[in-house]
Amino acid sequence: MILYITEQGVVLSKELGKLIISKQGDTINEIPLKKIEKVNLMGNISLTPQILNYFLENKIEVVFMTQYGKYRGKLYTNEYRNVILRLKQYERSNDQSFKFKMAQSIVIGKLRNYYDFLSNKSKNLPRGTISEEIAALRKIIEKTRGSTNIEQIMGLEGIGSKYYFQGFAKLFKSDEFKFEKRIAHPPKDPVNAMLSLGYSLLYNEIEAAMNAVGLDPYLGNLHTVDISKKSLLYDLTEEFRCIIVDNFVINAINRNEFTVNDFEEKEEGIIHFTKDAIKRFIDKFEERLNSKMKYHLDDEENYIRTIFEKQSRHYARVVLGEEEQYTPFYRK
Amino acid sequence: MFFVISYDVVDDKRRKHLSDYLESYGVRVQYSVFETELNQSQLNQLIKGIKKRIKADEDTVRVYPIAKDLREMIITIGTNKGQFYDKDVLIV
Repeated sequence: MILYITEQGVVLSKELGKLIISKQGDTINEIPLKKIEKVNLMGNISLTPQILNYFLENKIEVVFMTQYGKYRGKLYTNEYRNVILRLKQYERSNDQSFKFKMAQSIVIGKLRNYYDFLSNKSKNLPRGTISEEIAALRKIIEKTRGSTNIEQIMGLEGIGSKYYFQGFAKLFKSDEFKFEKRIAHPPKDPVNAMLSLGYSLLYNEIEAAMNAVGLDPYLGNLHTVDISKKSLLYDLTEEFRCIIVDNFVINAINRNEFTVNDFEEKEEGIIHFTKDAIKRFIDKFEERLNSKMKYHLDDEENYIRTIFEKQSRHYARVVLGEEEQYTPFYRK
Repeated sequence: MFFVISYDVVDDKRRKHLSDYLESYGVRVQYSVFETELNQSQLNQLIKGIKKRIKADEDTVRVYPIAKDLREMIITIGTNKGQFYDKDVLIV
């Protein structure tokens, strides 16, 4: 069982074989410890030393996030490190032609998913609604194929994303949700709040997959290597953003699963989920992660979490030189 | 799959050890009866753990599987302590 704690001021403690969730002395819930696979803590939550020790001893992953889902850190136990793979990663991080090829694949993959996504959605829209954006994306993908350096690729990625979000903004059926452009931190409208939380949950999943494979999330290709920046994590998330998160957000809104009343203005101009809505969002997002899709490299139906892991393994094989070309995930 | 675990353990100390262990897997519905929802690997782990905590020539533990559609038909007379932990995600 994956546990999310969104209720503020809660205390997690251990009593015999149970995790006790309490608030101001009252037990809200109790769960047999062996049922717990992963714990996500959002905001102001306390852990007793006993439960903390249990999580450490049993290698239960505990992720710390802000109340609104922004990643803060993790309780690290013995993270799996594949030393040979990591050495190769360090070596590759100085290999400019490898980094260039990788960055190019990643950005083409991301833009291609954008292109497929918009093309697909345009079938249900009045003719020509987003044809400008689709055509622009096609052109930018071509340019990326012909690019010669990473700076150029990053520039093209920026332009491509701009066109994509311009098209994305036109996919909302109701006028209730106004989306002008992607603003990451802090979100200034409900759609950006949903995207931010979705991406944040997605990062957690991809990082877990990378840890399972033994990759170092700090050594990437496209995003520059920076102190305390998990550039590979960002790299490998690119291809999934639109398929996993954007699609989910647009469907949730167009099916009226969320309304503007599910959001409130906290500080000046910053929009957040209400307490109840954040739980609903996580619940539906988890449901999405527990559904299946076809993995593009072997045509097998897999749980989405398995796809994240398969894709990390694929990346690792390319790093080790066992495979020639990295192929970002796409929907067949 | 849903399981009912009942035990007869002669020694007080051993019984306490076993019931503490079972608490971490499920819900105590009666003095020496537990209920729990387990997947195959959890079940294997549980059986291993039980074996370590009992004396095979003195104690007995029985693990009864219960089919999902029969679970709904469990009849409780008196206080019901049963609670099913069969969801994949819990959001508090």
